[in-house]
Amino acid sequence: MQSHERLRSLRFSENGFAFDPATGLTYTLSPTSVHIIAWLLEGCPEEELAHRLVAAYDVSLHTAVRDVDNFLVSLRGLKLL
Amino acid sequence: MSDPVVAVTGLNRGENPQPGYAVVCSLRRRFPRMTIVGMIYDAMESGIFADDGPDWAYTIPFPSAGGRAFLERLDSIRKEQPIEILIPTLDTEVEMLIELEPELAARGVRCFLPTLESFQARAKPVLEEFCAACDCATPRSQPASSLAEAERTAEELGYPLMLKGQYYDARLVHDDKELARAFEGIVQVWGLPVVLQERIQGSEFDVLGVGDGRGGVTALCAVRKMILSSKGKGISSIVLHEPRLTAITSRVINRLKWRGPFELELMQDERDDEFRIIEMNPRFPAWVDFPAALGLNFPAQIIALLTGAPIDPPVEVPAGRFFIRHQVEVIGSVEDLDELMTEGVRRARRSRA
Repeated sequence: MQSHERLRSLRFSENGFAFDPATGLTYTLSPTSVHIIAWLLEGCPEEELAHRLVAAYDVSLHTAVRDVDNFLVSLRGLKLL
Repeated sequence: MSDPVVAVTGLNRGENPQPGYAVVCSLRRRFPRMTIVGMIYDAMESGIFADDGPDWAYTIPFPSAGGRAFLERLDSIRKEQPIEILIPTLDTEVEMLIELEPELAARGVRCFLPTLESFQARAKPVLEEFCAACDCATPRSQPASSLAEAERTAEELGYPLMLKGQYYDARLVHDDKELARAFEGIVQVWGLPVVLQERIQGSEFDVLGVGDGRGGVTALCAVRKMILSSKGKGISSIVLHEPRLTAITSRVINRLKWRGPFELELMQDERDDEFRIIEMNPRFPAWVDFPAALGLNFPAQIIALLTGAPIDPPVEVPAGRFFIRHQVEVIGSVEDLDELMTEGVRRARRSRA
C-alpha cells in the first residue's frame, strides 16, 4: 500500500479547498476529486478507484476510468502522488 | 528601563514600498511608547504622514553625499532626538553605515549590521561565486561595466535574461535592443556595474530572518509570492514550511556569519524543482510587519540583540497565513511640507497614549 505522504500533508476543508503547507499552493477540488483523494488516503488501490466512483455516482465505468486517469495525471503533475 | 530612541530609514509606501514604515509598525507592536525617528530623503515619503508612523521625521542627505555629510546631519538631529539605535532599510545605506559603525558607536548609536566582508560576499556581482562556495544553486550571472560587455555576456547567457542594478532594479530583456534600453535606465540610477542573470522560470520565494553574527538565525519566515506587481514585487505572499528553504538559508547565513536582517530571494526552477538563490538583500523586506502581526517580530529582535534584553521566544508563523498589500491614502498639508522642506523636521500630529 502506498503511503501518499505528499497527499497526506495537504490540509483539506470539508468543502473541497486544499492547502499544501510545503509549497504554499492552494487547490479547489470537485466533490468527486475529494472522494478520490479520500479513497487514496484510505489505501484504495488506483485500479479500484473507478469502480468506487461508479458505485457512488451515476456514471459509466468508461467515464469513471477516464476521469480517474485524468485526475491521477494531474496529481502526478503536481508531484502530489 | 526606558525604551531606546530608534531611528528608521526608508518610509515611502507607494507603488514600490520601502521597508521602513513596516519596521516602525513592528516596533510599535512591541514597544508602544518608544520614540521613533524617521530619517527621510524626501518630504513626500508617505510613511511620515501615517497615523502610526514615526514620532518625528528628519531629512537626511542621500548616501551618495557620503559618510561625513550623514554624520554631520545625525549630530544635528541628535541635539534634539537622542537616537541610540539606527535601523537602515535601504540597500544603498548599508555599506556606508557598516563603514561608519565605529564613529556611530563613539556617539552612542548602535546598528545591527554585517561585517563589510560578509556584505560584499553576497553582492549581486559575485553571487554565483558565493553560492558555489556554500553549495547553493543560483542562476548563472555576470557583472558588466559597459554596454559592449553586457552584449557579449548576453550572447553567452542567451535571451531572455534579467538585467539588474547593483543595488536595485531588475528588468526582463528579450533582445539587444531591450538590453540597451534597460542598461541605460539602470546605469543612470544605480551606476555600474550592472548584473546579467540567467532567467529562471518558476515560482518566487522569500526567506526573512535575522542573523546573529555567529552563523545562526533568531528565526525564519518563508513565503511564496502569490501575486506580483508589474515590477515583480510581491503584492501578496503566503507562508509555507519547506525544509529545503530552511536548509539553504542556514548554509548561507552560516557561511557569511551574517549579522543583521536579511531577505533571501529564490526561484524554484520549473525544470528540476530546485530552489535557486537570485538575490540576498541586506535588510528587512517591506513585508516585515506581516510576521510581526502574527507574533514573530524581527525588528523587536534587533532591539533586544543591541540592548542585551532577552529575545521573545521564537514563534513559528503558521503555514497558510498570507498578506495582501492594501493601498490607502494618508493625509498631509502644505504646513507639513513647509516644515520638512525648510526646517528638515516634522513632528507627528497625534497624541499616543
